[in-house]
Amino acid sequence: MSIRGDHDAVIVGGGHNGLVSAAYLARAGLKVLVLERRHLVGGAAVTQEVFPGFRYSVASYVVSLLRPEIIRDLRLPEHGLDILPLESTLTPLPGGDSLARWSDPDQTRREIARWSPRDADAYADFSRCMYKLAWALKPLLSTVPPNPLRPGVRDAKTIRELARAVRGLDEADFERLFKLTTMSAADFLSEWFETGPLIATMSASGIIGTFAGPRTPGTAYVLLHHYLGEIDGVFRAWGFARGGNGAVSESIASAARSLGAEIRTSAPVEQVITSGGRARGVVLEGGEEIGARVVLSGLDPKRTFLQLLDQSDLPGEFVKSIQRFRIRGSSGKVNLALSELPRFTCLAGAGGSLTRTPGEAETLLRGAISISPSVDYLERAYDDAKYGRFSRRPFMDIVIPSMIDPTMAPPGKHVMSVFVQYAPFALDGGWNRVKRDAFGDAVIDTLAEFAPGLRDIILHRQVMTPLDMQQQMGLTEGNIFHGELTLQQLFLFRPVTGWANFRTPVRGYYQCGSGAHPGGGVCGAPGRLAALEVLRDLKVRRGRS
Amino acid sequence: MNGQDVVVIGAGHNGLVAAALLARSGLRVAVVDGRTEPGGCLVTEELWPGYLVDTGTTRAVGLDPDVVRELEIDGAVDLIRPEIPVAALSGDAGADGSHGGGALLFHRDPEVTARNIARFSARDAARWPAFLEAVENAGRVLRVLYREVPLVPAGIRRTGLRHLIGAGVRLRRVGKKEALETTRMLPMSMEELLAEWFESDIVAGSLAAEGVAGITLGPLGGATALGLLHGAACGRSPAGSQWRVRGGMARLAAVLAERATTAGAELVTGSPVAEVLISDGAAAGVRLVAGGEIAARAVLSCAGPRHTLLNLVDPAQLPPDLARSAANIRCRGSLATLAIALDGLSATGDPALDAAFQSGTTVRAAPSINYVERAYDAAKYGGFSQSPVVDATLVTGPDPSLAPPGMHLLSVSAQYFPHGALEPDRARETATQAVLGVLERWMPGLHDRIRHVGVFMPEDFEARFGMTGGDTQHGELALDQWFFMRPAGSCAQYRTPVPGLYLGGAGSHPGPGITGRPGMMAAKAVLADQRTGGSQNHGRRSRKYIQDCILL
Repeated sequence: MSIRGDHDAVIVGGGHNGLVSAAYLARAGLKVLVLERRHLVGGAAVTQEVFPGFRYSVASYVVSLLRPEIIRDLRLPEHGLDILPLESTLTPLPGGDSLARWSDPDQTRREIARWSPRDADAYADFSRCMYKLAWALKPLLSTVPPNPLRPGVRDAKTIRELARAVRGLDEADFERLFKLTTMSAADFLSEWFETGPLIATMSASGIIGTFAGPRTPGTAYVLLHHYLGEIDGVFRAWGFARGGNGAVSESIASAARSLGAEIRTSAPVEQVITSGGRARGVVLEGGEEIGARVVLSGLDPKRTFLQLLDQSDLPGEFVKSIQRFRIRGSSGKVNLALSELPRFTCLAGAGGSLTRTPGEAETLLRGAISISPSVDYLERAYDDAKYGRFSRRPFMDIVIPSMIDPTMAPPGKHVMSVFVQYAPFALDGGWNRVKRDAFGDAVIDTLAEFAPGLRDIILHRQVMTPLDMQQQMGLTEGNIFHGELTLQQLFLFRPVTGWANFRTPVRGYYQCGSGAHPGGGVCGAPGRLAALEVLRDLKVRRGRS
Repeated sequence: MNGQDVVVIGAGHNGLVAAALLARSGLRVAVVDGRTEPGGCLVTEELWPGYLVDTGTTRAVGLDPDVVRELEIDGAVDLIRPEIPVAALSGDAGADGSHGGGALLFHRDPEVTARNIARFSARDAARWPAFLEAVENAGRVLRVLYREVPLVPAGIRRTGLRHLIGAGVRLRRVGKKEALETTRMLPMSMEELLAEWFESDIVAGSLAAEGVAGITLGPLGGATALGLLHGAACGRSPAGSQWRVRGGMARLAAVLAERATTAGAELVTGSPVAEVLISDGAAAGVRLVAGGEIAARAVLSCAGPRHTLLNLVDPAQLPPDLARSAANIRCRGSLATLAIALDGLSATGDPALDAAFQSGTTVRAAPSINYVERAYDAAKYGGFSQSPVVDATLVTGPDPSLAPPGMHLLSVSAQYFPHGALEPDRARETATQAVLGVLERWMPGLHDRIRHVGVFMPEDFEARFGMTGGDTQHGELALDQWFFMRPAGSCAQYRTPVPGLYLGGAGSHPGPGITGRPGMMAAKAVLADQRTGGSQNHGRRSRKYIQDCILL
């Protein structure tokens, strides 16, 4: 067997996590090679000019969780990362009314007070509480989950540190934290608020990327997972990347390259080479073999273990655990090219109990727009998906990046990014072109209820189904988190009990994607933690100043 | 009557168990209940002449072995345990009316069940024994937790790692792998858990129905696996063991009441409690609706925690956090029960099913997970299931004494019929039609055999047994209302922040299931405090808990 090259580490997959791993490993002086199947890096965090002049964050579209230590360690701003803040969330309601939330707490308070003064007070308390809980949980994002089956000294230390973090919470907060991890988003929010639309639109962040409705226990955790991104206010971490989410990946890739990592695109890996229970390198489609001391996979657990490896390399129990790992895709994406700004009824002053000033209306279009008018609406959308249909009236999370970053569209024109849920991967009868179009139509029809005239301003439309995301981005079942963020698939259990520490049953083979702790979102933490574990195993001292 | 050591509110099974144990320890105990007969929802009434109907609990009785031993109940009542606990109807009982593939009989002998399952899926049959073992392992892990006073957050916070180690050591005896696996299973939906094991609709559907029995969530809902695992911890097999009491549930109530009174407890029935008296910040007795007060050093309420904390205690006496927690306890009843008197039985064309049915097997209409989930969908929007999940048991099969000679009594529990969705008469009518619709599909001609129908909706459970929201579990059995969160963090060790006021009903750890365990554990908490002079000090309690952990 001829194995070419002498890399220290080969990384399969040039998504944001793979790139983060590469940068950290290169920074420690290792010879690193990233192999990306596609012609561009970024995985699901890519910007593409889908229609001439219109550039899209094709899949992942906002930056929420990118770890500040990664931004700092890799000096991403020097490599072009510029995050523009997302200032508001607008929830259009039937009948022309709307509910807006702003980054300015006073403005939000006045807005909510229109519905319920009690909720306006509660909203401030709620934000404080979530902030506190997110702070308590934040260390988890940079913790390597211990192996509870055979705990080592370091694992015991981790457990002690976690216990200390928990002890820092008072009794009421501890109970809230427990409730957050076990309750449904709707029930949890109902303990705080009485305003239906407020509960609905807030509960929507509990279902994003998850195959569950807001009344399903466990969804409150996803709420917190999304809240974690909002706490690093100084980094303005909840927002758009200038140039789209591809710019995030590009900046990490640029940092990795400047630290000495090599990145090869159009280099699809077929398999990981193993011998004697150890990873020795990879073989590309076409037969080229590349040797390495360690191999990292940024692909999801199904691909990392069931596709890149021979099942005989893994214990049977482990294979079974990976097979049952839940990775159901539940969302789609519709990217629109618009000849002008859409006119939302709720911003035009027609109907409803409130007229917004033109200035206010424009500001709101620069933020997120959430089609989540009621919990029942979201549940009905979920009901469709449960039984194998896409939602006839889906939940949508919309941004218009060209409002903030004019380079995304030709002058005067706009791009609109619509995250749509639910679109089950396992659609009855499977996805095809006709169903993709029907799905796109359902999205536009629903959206047109809130923004009449939308159809007339659409120049182009790109519809991404979970199947498209699987085929284009390599996301199994189109699941944006590489595996659902349910309690039984987090921390100790992500992706398999005993193997949450980024290692695998094959020595020298590591997982560095979102399927590892702490999970999905453009977060980078799995990539960073995996790299640090590799360095620990290779006994390389961190950093190369 | 005045000058009791302890007043127990509610003469349900937990109240009676607690009263018996307290009285046996030499305390003066009075048990007060609004109903004229003791037993709470263990009640058998002659609804129509000659028919003895369990009008409260119709489902399994799973008395805790410790309760059975301490109160010497073994042999005091005659439990009926059918050889075949459940017969699951296959086919879409909701849509086409067929149960084409026949019924799946869950036998008490796992090998027989596996053979029966093989008719639907050889793979599922092969997995049945391992599934039973996995669930039993989880049951064993939970039993460790259920035997303990739950660790409260305050304890974790104050004593940290040592506490966790204590719990860990005890769990380790069961097996670390099993404990972790249980932790992984608990947050799962029934659907998720079952998808790891089974492929056939009927196996998954009928087991899913067991997991969601009594709660208002469908099998796709997160953490619904808890229902199944909780059952396992209470000694029920996954397919359900419908143990019934020969002669009706009231027989068991009578035994428990006898144990309490023989021990010296005073039974005050027909006297609803209006208020828990609080003096100098501590519970001092109860005031009755009819007037009159019973003074006591301690009050143990086995009524629902929401009712106790929000209706019986002056809210001003509660810490604001607790008042809020109490108001947030989810009590969403959607279970209805029906008693149907029949003047004869018609054959269904499936002799094995008929034979099982006539020997007391519960016939279950839950042919697939989606069927159960669809039944829940309606309830989610505040409506009634049109094709409900139905468990029907011919109670006169093994126990003909429950009906006049030649007559039959069918006991049905069905969901989902959420509390407050319709006005009572229409609710009864709509639910009856929906249930009969399902029953008629596998038992054609049933309609013409019906003599009487008695319907009990969640509203009836609320009115008759004081179950808030008609929730028979005194607070939905869900992960966030379980263990140290049951009924609320500050009351999970049976004590409340009000000194001298204790909670010990199904709303307390370890929860529902006619186990008597909450009552027993609450009584022990009361006794411990009476001996140490009514300590309400959290710190001291935590220290004591550590000592317990170390001793264990």
